Amino acid sequence: MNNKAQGLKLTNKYSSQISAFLALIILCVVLSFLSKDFMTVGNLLTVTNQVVYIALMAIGMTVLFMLGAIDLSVGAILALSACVMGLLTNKYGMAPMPAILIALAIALLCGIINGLLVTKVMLPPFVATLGTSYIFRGMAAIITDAKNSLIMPDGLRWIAAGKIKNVFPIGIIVLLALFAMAWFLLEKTPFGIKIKCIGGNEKAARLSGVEIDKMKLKAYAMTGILCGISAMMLAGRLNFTNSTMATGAELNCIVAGVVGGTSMNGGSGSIWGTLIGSLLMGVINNGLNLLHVSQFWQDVAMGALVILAVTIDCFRQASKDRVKKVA
Amino acid sequence: MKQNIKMNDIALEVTGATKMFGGVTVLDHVDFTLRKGEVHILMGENGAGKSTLIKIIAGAYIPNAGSIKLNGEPILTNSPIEALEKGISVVYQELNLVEPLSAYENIFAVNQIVKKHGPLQILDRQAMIQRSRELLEMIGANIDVTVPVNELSVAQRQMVEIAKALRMNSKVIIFDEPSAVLTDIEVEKLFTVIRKLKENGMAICYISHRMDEIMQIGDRVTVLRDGKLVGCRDFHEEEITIDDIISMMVGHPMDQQFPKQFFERGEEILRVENLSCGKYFQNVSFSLHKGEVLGFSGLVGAGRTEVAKTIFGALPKTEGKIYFFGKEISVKNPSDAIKLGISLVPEDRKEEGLFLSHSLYSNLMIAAVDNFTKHGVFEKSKIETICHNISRKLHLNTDNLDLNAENLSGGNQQKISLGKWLVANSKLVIFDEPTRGVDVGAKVEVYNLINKLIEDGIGVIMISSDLPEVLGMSDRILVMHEGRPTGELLRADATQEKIMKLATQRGEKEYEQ
Repeated sequence: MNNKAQGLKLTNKYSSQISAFLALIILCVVLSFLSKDFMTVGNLLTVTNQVVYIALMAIGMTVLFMLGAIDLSVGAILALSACVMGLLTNKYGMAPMPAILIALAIALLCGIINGLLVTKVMLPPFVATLGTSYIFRGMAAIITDAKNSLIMPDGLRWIAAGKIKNVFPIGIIVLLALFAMAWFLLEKTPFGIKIKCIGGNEKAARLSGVEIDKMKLKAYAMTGILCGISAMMLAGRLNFTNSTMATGAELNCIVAGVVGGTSMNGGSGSIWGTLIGSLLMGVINNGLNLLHVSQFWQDVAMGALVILAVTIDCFRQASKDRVKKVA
Repeated sequence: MKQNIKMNDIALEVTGATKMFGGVTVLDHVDFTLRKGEVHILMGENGAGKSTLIKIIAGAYIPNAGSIKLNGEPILTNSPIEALEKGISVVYQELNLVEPLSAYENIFAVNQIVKKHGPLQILDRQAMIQRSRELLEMIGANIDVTVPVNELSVAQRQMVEIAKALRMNSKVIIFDEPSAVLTDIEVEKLFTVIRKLKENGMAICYISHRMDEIMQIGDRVTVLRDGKLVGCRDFHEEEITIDDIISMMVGHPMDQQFPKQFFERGEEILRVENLSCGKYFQNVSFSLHKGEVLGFSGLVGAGRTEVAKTIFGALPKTEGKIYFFGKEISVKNPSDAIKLGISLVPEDRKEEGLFLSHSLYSNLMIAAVDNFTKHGVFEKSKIETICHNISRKLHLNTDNLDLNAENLSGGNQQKISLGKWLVANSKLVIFDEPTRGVDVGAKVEVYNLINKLIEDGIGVIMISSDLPEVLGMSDRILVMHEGRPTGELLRADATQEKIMKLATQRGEKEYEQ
């Protein structure tokens, strides 16, 4: 195969990531004309830092999409985990480190519960995680009495909101590190192939010796722990925790994944696409803020974006099927 | 044959029915007539075109050519509902009843009886229950019509289907292997009903593989083979034996090329003793040695695939023992079996074998994916070397393993489906219909690969519904019928007729050794 064909094939393979990236660039250019404040290094870094918590959860969502599953409880896991940490440090005066570890363990446990409901009880992922999302958020409200915890540990503040030389947010380093780890896991180890094969053809995967339940459980557990990390980052940045944190964040994660080219039907996807998708969403939110668009209209925009993204995904799937028939 | 049939005797007349699926002709200019008051048996091997013909008559398929006349009038049915309204009913083997609904609700699934109150239409349940009872009484079935269908036995559900057909004033009823799911007594009852329908002038088409019942109930028989009409014979006009029908079904002389190679019989690879899996199959015993191909023959639903899946751990065994290289093994899932070296090339490669939208690399390495790592991280060079070695061994028509599996032809896809087991170093390969959907040239390549496996000391079991293939490639042939082995034939003794006899006749144990 010559270089040109190879190049063409690469563009084909990453077409959705490339189009998402182009959309991001175009949006940035448009916003830079509409608002003077947008195209500043400070603002761009702030935007990025603001989507860290979404992007981290979206890693888990992307893995679940590849598997052909979904987790609608990510926002609730985040809230519960953050509230546990806030409660332990504020109300019970626990040292930050053990409190954070307990909070992460809770998030992991929530992920495992989702995984068990999907694999052992065999509930459809949509229903199982919609149910647990109410349970987890309800638990968060119960343990906190729906009150805020207002003082976050200094270390957490530094990681989540701190800046190197007062410019570069440390949160972005955390973000990139976790994405690199996820990429490595998905592309360089059997984990990724197994996950995508289950999403591509679960029957064939089982008959090829892939342990379906084990992999699904791992994916949900992984999503859980990512929600925990995300909870710490958000709590640290906002400097408070309460049970309504990250309400509706699951929708943002879905958009990030789908815009980034991961199909909800399973079998394929890209972790870098999800990063681009998260940034795109952050930019849209930030842009609408700078243009003084009300929160209500922002909700409308987000909902429209979900529908648009999934529609594009459907078209992508349909055109792929057409190509298949011709070939 | 007498040709003095009056036009009005014929209820349904199909002429020149042709159906193609993507360039493959599955039904080729088939003529078929159904007279009023007759039971017309439709026979043929799996894939002969019986169900295609039925589906055309029932309006589920639109034929590429041909016409259908009902009572002398041409009809063009575009949907099953339309055919039903015109008086053609099909009682499918997998009965088409809505389970949680009651019998009468199913009988009145379309065109319910309603009471009109001005603009409002209200279901008249009492009238429907009453009418359903009458219909079931007509065929001598005593069933509570208000009970949900899933609480009825299979035989009772069939009666509900028949009542449904009667209620639509059907003139033509087609039974698609109704007896396959019934006990002997239930079959007798069904026959009584069919005879009654026949007396009332109903035209009945009956599909079955059971030779004994064909002789019992049939007036005429039509045999299809490879999508073509072999012939139509009348039981009342000539003496027809079971052997006559079998030779009509099997027909063609063996003219295909089977590059069978023979090797010395070596140590035992697999031994299965009294293996059972619930209702799928019972008491299956056989052994497989190095150097031989064991063929599995039988009709669809005989339990062959299920035996394979049980050995492979995809179905749970309920009884019996499996020995692999002399040691008893217990496999709980395919992953256990694969670790031992047992593999299955499934019948439906697109559904169960391949990851169509994934690269050939993924497809080849998935079964042994953990072996390609060092400290948990992929070793790219190892993957490339092994996958390319295997693809050369398979004579794959491409070197580019980054291609997606969906871009390959059927034959090459089948090679990939096998290739993943070669990558995983399997010691036993079970092929389920190894050449289904593979063109003739590629078939020979698959047979050559089977030879090569045997040469390398890998055990091969080949399940196949293609009789010439079983005869051409096996050293021994195990025949199954309705979940039980009915005989084992040595290559030298096996003929198509003997296999068909074992595959269709019930309760006749004929071990020829």
